[in-house]
Amino acid sequence: MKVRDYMSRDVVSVGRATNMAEIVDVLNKREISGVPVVDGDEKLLGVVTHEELMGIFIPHYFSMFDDLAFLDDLETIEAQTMSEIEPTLFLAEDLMVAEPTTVKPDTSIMKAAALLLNRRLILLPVVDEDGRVVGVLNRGDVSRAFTGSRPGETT
Amino acid sequence: MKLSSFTDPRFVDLSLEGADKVSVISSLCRLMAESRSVSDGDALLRDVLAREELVTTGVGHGVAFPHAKSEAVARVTFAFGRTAEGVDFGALDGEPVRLVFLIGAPKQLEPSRVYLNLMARLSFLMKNEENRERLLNVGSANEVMQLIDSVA
Repeated sequence: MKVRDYMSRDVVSVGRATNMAEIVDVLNKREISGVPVVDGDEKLLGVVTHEELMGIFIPHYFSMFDDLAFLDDLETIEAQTMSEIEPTLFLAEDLMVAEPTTVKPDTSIMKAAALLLNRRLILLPVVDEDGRVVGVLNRGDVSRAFTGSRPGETT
Repeated sequence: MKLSSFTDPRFVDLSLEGADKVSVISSLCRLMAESRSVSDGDALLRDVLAREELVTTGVGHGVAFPHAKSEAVARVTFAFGRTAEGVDFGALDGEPVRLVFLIGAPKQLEPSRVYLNLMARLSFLMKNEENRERLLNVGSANEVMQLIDSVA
């Protein structure tokens, strides 16, 4: 089983100057969890997912605590929402995880699955020899591969 | 965690000199380069100006947040400068900028949550008109520290 057989070829990508509001719009409209960031030649620069977008708003020190039960008054922090930030302050350039893990179309699904799990990735950009994005593989695609259904098939 | 832990009174310049955006950012880069957090002020300046070229960080109300991830930065750090005369940042509202927060982060910082959330919290702070007025009128770096620590 190869990545090319299960990846999504209908890839939506954004440029480095795309702002956070535009990225959220793309993710919501396409019902996807992350998006590749590409340059003018469609070469991969990075990936932005909901995780980076959430990172804007969730205080970084929360990551130090396993148990957040003692935090009972979060209204002040919750008031700090996207509507309070000028969207152009956060561009794909600022948000993206640069030089992300990628796979090739002929990478095995087993290897791609291991990368997704071991590195806790939401998606894997699929790139050609020149670094251009030709597809995206997500966890759902891997599940479909292992359960025997092709994209678009319903059971 | 207090916002002041990402800066230092030495990184505050309440009489920032410079007639334009580049010279103002350059002055703040030099200020930060006097610390261990930034190894090369010129390299940081190049990275910050490259980010400015994409879209201005002059978000309006006389405030700008020039920023970049840079090889020259060892830890997430910011500097603050106030200019006597407003500087043209090509701000979204067309207004000149007097309050400038320069934020630098390591190039390979992953995840970049610390950097992103710091920038957001500074942005929330400056969304408040009263806070902007206070920063325009403070007389010392320590007063700046107190104000920035008032954000949740």
